[in-house]
Amino acid sequence: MNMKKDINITRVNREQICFRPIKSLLVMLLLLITVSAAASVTATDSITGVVRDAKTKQPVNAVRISVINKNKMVVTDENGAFTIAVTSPKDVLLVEAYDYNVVEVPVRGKAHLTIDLYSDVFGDYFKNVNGIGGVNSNSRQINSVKTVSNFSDNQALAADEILQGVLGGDVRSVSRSGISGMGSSLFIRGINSLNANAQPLFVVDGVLWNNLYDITSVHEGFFSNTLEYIDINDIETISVIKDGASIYGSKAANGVILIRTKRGKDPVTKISLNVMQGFVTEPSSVPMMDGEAYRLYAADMFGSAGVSGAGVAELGFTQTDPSNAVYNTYHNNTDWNDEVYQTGRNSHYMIDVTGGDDKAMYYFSLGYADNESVIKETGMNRLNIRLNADLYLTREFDLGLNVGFSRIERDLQDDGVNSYSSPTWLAKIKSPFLSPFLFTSTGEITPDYDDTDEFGIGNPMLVLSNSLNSLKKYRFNIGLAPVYRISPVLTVSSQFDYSLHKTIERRFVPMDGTATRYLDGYGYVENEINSQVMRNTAVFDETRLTYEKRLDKLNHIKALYGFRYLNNYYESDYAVEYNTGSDNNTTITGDYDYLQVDGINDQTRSLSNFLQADYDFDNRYFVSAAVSVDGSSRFGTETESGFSLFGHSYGVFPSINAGWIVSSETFMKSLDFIDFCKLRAGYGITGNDGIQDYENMTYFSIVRFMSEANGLIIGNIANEQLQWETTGKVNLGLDMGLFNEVATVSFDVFSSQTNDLLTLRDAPLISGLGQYWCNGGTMTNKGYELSADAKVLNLNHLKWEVGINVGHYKNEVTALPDGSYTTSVYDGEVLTAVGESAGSFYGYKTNGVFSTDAEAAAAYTDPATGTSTYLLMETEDGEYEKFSAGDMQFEEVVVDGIIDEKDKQVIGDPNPDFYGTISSRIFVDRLSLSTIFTYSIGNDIYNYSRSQLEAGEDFSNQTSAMENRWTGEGQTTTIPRAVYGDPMGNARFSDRWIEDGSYLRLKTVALSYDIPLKSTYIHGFTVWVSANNLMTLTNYLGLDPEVSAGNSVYYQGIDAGLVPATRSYAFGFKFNL
Amino acid sequence: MKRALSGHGSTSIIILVAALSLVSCTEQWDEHYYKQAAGKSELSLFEFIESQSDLTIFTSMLQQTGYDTVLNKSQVYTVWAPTNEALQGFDLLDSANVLKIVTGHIAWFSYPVREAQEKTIIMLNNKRIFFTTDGTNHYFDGKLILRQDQAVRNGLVHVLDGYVPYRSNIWEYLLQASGIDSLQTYINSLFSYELDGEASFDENGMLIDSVLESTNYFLTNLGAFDNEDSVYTCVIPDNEGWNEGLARISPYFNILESEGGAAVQTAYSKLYLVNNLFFSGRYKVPVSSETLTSTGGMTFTNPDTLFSGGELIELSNGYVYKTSSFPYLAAESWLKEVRVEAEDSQDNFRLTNNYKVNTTSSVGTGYDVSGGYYITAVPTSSSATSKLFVRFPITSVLSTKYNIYVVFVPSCIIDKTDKRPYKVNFYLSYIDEKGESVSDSKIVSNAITDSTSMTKMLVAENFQFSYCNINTPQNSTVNIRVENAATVKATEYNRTIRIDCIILEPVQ
Repeated sequence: MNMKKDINITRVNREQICFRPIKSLLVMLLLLITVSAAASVTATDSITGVVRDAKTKQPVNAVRISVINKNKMVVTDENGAFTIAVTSPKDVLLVEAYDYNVVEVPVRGKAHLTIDLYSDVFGDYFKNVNGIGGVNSNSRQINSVKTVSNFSDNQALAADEILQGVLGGDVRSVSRSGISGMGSSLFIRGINSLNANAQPLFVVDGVLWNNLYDITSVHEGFFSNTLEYIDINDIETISVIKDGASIYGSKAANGVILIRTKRGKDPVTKISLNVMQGFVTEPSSVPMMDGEAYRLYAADMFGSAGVSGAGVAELGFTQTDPSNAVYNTYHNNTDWNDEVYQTGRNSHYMIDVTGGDDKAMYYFSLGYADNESVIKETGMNRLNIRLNADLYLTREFDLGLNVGFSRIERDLQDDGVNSYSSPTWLAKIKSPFLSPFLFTSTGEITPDYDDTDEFGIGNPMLVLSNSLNSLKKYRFNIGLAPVYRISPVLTVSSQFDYSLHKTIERRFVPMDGTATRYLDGYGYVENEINSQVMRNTAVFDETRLTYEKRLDKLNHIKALYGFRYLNNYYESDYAVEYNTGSDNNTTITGDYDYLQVDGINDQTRSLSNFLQADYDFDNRYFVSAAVSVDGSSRFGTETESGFSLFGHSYGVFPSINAGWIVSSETFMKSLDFIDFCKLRAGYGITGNDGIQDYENMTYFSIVRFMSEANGLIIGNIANEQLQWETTGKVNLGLDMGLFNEVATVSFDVFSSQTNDLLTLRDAPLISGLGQYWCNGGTMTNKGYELSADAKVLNLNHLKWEVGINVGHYKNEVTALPDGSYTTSVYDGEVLTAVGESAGSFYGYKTNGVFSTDAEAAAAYTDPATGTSTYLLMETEDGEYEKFSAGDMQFEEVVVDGIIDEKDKQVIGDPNPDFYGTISSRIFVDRLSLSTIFTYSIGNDIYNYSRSQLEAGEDFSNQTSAMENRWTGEGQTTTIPRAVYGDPMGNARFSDRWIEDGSYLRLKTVALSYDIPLKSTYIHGFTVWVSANNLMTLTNYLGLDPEVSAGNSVYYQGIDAGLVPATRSYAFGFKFNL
Repeated sequence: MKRALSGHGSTSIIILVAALSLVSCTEQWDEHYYKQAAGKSELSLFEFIESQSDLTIFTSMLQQTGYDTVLNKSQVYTVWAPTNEALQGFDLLDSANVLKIVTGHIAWFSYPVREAQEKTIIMLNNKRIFFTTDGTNHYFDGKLILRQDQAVRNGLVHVLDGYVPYRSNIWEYLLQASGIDSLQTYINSLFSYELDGEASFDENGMLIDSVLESTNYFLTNLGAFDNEDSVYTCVIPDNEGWNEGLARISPYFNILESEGGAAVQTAYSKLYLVNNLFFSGRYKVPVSSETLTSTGGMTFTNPDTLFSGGELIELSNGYVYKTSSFPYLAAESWLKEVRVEAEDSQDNFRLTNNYKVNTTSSVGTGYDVSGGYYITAVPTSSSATSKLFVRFPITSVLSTKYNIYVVFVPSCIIDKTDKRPYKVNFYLSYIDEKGESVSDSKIVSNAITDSTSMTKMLVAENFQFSYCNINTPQNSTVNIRVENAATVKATEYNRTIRIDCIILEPVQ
């Protein structure tokens, strides 16, 4: 009956869940506590049981069995038998044995228990999890939390790669690029912001990190990845907190990722050496036209560009006589892809030492990663040093110490769609019949690279060799974590941290090998120098007063009050100059053309007071309530949702979560196939303070006047009501262990609503200020997450476990203050409108290519006259042009015979229907084979890269699909005619470029072998090999369906032509002394 | 629990179905990147034409001229291929003509019939051909297209019911037409050759080949007759017309033996004969425009009289009216008024005596001064005996009769109170009929100008010049000397004189 009741809860309509859940939940819990307390009167004094191996059914002796929270513990005898006293039929036994997974077994009023244990090679369901309140058993977590650990046999450079591979259904993680360490766009439970930070909060060893989500680089296609600073071998656990994170208040609306680095645990000195060597295969290319096909295409372009036949006949590429001096220049067969790419090489070395004594414990590591990228002339190296120590100064006083230093150096090239300075893109669009090398006037090849060709396309090899693009990053932090135990139940602790993060970027685009281009507002530029230096200094402190007491065997309470302060100072200086006159002049002097300088000085101060109280009864009923009161320099002083104190505005972020371990109840006695069952429910409000600094204030900006002098103008008008975005989240969860722990399932249903969305609003025209930030609009995310693991085989020498992880959300914008708007992104448009998902693509739908002129002439039927005619388009000159044979047929929304803005509609949604992972782990004695598939189903991709390679509008080489272009009456094809400049806009943003981005990828296959050694000194030697991205099943027409053009919500699902993920192979070993 | 299991199951099924549907990814990839458009042949242009049974003659013409190879290359062309029937009777042995016809049916780039909207197509032989439609059918040079838009690997083929004959352009006509030998001889005499430096030397300045570049006065001065884009209408005299023209023009260019005599006279005559034969644009009689200006710069008020007597020949870049007469009037063509602006008369050649000459603007004065300027000759001597004069060289005087005028500007143009006229003498220098030089022959004495308005004073009437001086512009044999006849004491005359211009009006 009770079970049925709980199921009914899930049937309550969502509005009720959102706004009236807490009261109902509390009433229900109190009722259950009363009922269960009455049941405990019939407790059995002692029970007996036997513990067996799940496979052999042989008894296991020396198994430690304890009653959770009841201070009772026994050990099994040689027959695996035990007898233990219990105080309640609802007690839970904790069963722990060497080489076996820990299990928690509910008594449920039984007098005898038979407990089967599984080898610890299987996933440990009852492991400890690093949650909001600290480390606790997974069974007692009432938040939606997932934790992963142990990443040593892995090629990953940064933690985001781990998240994608292991928690793909909990965090939607999309790699930004195939270049190592570029990071991923991370979204937890949908999209919770439009214009502000939508990425989760990173908390590393209790310290809030600035994720630098909106920092731009001078290098195109490069992304700053904060997680890159942490060597994955230094990480103990990564936890994803998806709800109930109100103690992180105004920073937690996008979820929280907790990272704990390793610390010393055992006084025995242990030395561990991790070595990895690997290689990355060259990215392939989408099929491009060969030289002869390009020759035909180029002629089409010249013809439609108005160049006469006689003029074209004089060009080099049309010369067909081998005796012609330029013949050799234009008759090569160059695989440009092969010219710019190479087989990449990865190596990673890590040594760590742990140990200590009763006075201090320590963990020290030194890591070095070296990467030769798949793009020639590029690569990176990283040095990591970390010292985590715990000093036990007195019985009451401990002092934790965290020191970390990372240095990352990169040699880069611009990447992505960039016809000017990206060698990888130039390699795509450069004609294959050209050579990288210069030919003499008599047709002899030389060792010198050729310059820009007669089609205006540069030489990627010259760009590669003459560019000077580098990036250096440093991060240093020192943290102190004193803990003082005032009494056995009262503890005060603090976490102080100072960090300095510096990035130095330099970029030089040469004039040799690149086309001269026109810079709007300036003039023609030949080469370019950029320089950027960025510093981020953060001072952080979080002090907690914790009270924890077990009142009796049934009641446990824990409460904490905390104060958190964060002072973040971000500074950047940027300069760019052009036309240095020579590629030997590569530094900014101020004497060259069009000098532009810019900079940012942002200081953000935020503080938070938070309170959390946890109560649990008899290890079955759990309630946790938290509230934080946050203030930030980014908030206005008169916020609507907050309150004012001492001239500042504060927001209040409460949450309540509850859990019920149903499986401990006696009414579950007959349901033997359910080993564990926990219901979770919670509601919490969190915020997003990812507002740009100073936007609540009036401030002045520096402007350059006539390139002669600096002046000040008003840059923003104050909005004292500017505040955080507010996200309320409801979560209902069910965790189950089934069939004697053969299968475990976790299922969560969530619904969230974000209010007070940060949006740009037009300032009064008379002010001349453009736009300003304000709050308004709402957005919802509704969905579910499922994870399930099953032990498929448990033979003597062969064990197999599979798991699946599914995430689903449906995002919808439900209100906007100023109505719908679109955002221009990569020649496309993203619609923000009520009733639509964030990031929706907004453009034209197409109905193929007009095969014949007759077909085009009947495309539009005038409803008034019934006559058919051509569809029309208004040109810039105000004249109307016909869409005729060979043109795209765009679908009309407003049927008026004219294709224009009114005919745009939603043509795609980058948000997936489902995403996640499928994993398999097979163990054959000491050999283990781990396989991870990742997938995403139902997401659309705007293939911007293809839109440039099949636009048929300029001299860029095109994909082989362009050979299929319409060239004559009656042809049935999907590719319209190729016309220089695309006067009919056939390549406009339309569903031609929107593709189904669904994929199933064999992300990782890893084979490891634990070599048996009989040595006093060597405690373990594991060798492993792994391969990534071995296979991808997708209908996507790009190179990699996993695309994200940036961290902004508007940049999701856009293939900007960045280096795709390719297959990589690695070999490694781990040596423990 | 059932719901959870159910959810798990359905999700697994979804993923399984999705995975299976993705298995077709290679097919979709190939479909997009490699599938050939329906209706498009993979044959080359030549292979396609060769495969058509009704194009065998044109196929052989392509092979004969080497264009079979060209049409197999990776360059985009459109071929309007005449059918065998259309080419019946065509002389395939005339190799030169075969080439002209072949190149006249091939154009760079792709021209589907959707572009047949009065579009001019430039063919490989540089001829401009109209590609048109009547809404139902499409035409190329007026010939019906039987099968249109046959798309192949490297272009398009239209099958044509007829063929486009080769049409010469004006330059080809001038050089090759029969019956205009005299003109052709003259044109050929005007070719000159220079070394083409760019083509002859490599980037290091080394001579790699002696490439001569030819130029011709006709092409450089009268029109780009060899350019198919430049359209002209021409009056082309045949030999008879040529002779008539020469006969009429020659007397005006009588030149001293010492300056070249008859040879130079003939050269000038021919030059002035051809200078006004060409007009930009296509004109047929009746010409809608009332006036036409020749490429030589003369404007004709009744162009129909020029064209109506000739035989119209339509060429690829214009029309020729071939004529047996020479329809030009002397006054409209070679015999024009000679006007020497006093201010333009070069100091190097203008002679002054006891005068200082300033150029003065007439802007704002209200006087109609030719060219907007006049000269002010200010005395530099108060001597009673000193002669004050300005002597103007007159060039481009033909050997014919002129009325000679000197135009004065009154003193009141500067000072309204100054009502004093000028009192002047005139002298003329010239070559007499015996070929001897006559220097400063007084032709008018004590002429008095109007004191308040411009004075166009006739100083010689029907004066016959025996020789033209066109060949000696820098040492003119014709001079007008204007001398101040007012003495120092004759205060009723202004000794500062203002001269606008000298005019020699031909006497018809």
